[in-house]
Amino acid sequence: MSSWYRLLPFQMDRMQSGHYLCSSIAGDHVILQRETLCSVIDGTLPREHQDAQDLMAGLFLSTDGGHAEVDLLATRLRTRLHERRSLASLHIVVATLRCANACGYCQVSRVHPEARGKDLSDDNADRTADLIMSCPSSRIKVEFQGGEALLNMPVVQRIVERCDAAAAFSGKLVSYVIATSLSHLTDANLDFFAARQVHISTSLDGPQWLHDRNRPSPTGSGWLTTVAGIERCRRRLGHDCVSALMTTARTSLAHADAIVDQYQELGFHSIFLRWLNPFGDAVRHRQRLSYTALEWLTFWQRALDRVLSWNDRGYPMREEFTCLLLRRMLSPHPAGFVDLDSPTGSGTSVLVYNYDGSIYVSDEGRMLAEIGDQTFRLGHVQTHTYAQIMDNPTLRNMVSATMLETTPRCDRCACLPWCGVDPVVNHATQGDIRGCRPTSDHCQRMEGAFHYVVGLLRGPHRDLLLSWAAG
Amino acid sequence: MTTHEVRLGASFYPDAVVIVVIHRLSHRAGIAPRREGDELILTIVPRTGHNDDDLVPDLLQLLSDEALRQKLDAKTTGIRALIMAQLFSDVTLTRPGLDGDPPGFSGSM
Repeated sequence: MSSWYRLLPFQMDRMQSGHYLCSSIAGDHVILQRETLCSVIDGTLPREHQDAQDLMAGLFLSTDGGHAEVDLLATRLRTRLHERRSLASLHIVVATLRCANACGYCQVSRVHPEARGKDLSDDNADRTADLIMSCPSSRIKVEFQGGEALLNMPVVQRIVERCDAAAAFSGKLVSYVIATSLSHLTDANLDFFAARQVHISTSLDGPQWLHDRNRPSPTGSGWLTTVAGIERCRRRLGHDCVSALMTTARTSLAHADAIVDQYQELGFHSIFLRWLNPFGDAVRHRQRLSYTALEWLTFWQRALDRVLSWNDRGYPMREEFTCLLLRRMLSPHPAGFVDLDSPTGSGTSVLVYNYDGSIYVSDEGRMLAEIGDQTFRLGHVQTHTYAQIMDNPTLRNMVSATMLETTPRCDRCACLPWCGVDPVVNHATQGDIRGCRPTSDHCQRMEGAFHYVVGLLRGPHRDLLLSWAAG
Repeated sequence: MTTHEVRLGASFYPDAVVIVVIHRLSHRAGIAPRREGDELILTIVPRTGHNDDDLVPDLLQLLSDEALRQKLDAKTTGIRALIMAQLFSDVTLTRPGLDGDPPGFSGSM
């Protein structure tokens, strides 16, 4: 018996609920019961079946021989890939490695505040600014990191002023973020940030006891300093010019609600629930700090539910990792997050300029260099042009190895259209930039997170989540 | 050392299905397949900490899912390749006539 439809290619995976998540190659998704999935594949799905309409709308089935659907799927996939052609729009500048804090999971091997030779020099700063402005992107974000970036404020100012001068000539839009613990913040710093519209990103791990345990400070409570700094920044720069990031340590896992509530209490309307990356001191202190992907997923789900409950109570709040997932699932735009880029965003959408002028594919690549692994060094600001950096054999190899469509297991995973891979993390954890999916924490974390969000999209918070995807 | 042995109908699970599932479970167990007559015999050696009650049921579920997935692939491989070719093509591959010159026009004009 001939079928009334033609099957189009899609990926499918079984969810914990026993239902099957199916995604088209353009990224639409449906959830089917097994018997429905079997009849779809067998060509016996009745035309009047309740899922038939969604399957046709989502380009899983075709009724006209498939020509129009092939064109449409190819166009949508081309749109997704076209968005990835925007090269290196995020430039991370490590102003110094010096920092007074002694965070157990520091990923950059910070050095003592009085240490010498760990600051970006004026000469390298000028070349860094010139390289940044020579990249072809029309919108550029420069993020200053450390150590504690405020400890080398003259170089931060120098780069901002040089980039702004170049932008006035080229017409490019440049925005600035400085990552800081706020412990060395001065009024002069704030005046400069206000004048140049520099956004503040600080670290806040949750309640005072938790933050101070994770991030010991020589001056007493780092939490009190940070919270006071947030208030000063808000008063001078505006409420939305300050954001905070939390890092999940093992201690944090049992306190999801308290962490979210702390952000709410401090007036934040967003929280980014980040996991610990396997770099720097996080590796040295692994026994004390680390946890499995499954433990992090449980924590994230609990915290996300808490964020949703604050929305139910009338307090608008977003979870930023969920926003990234939704943006990947529901739009053709890249998430701007290297873990969700395919091919990799390391080196292509992000470049990192270290304090010594070395250039790396990502912050993680720079972190590896701090422990002696220079695999992801692309060159030096004094000797390499932007074109030479982009033509680096390591970078080309990374890009070709991270197309998920060519990766075993990923090529038929239901999360394929949305997911990504960080070759630097693969290299650090599995000794190979391509990586092995069954033993990959990244794979377990992303698959679990996507499946959870798919479930939420079928629940009472659907409209709220759609608004998160819109940005 | 604890091992499990699972015997299945060989005709239901071609090598391509079995190999994929062995790969997917490689973080939980080493699995050695062999075929004897009409039987597919899987010898399972769980990794330390993974000798749980779910291992064999999960194996059977994955085999069933992978067989379904490969059935889907067999039916859609051609059209998947066509979509990928269309993605990188400057002309339409599905309706070639649309890219030709309209009647009355010559490519040499």
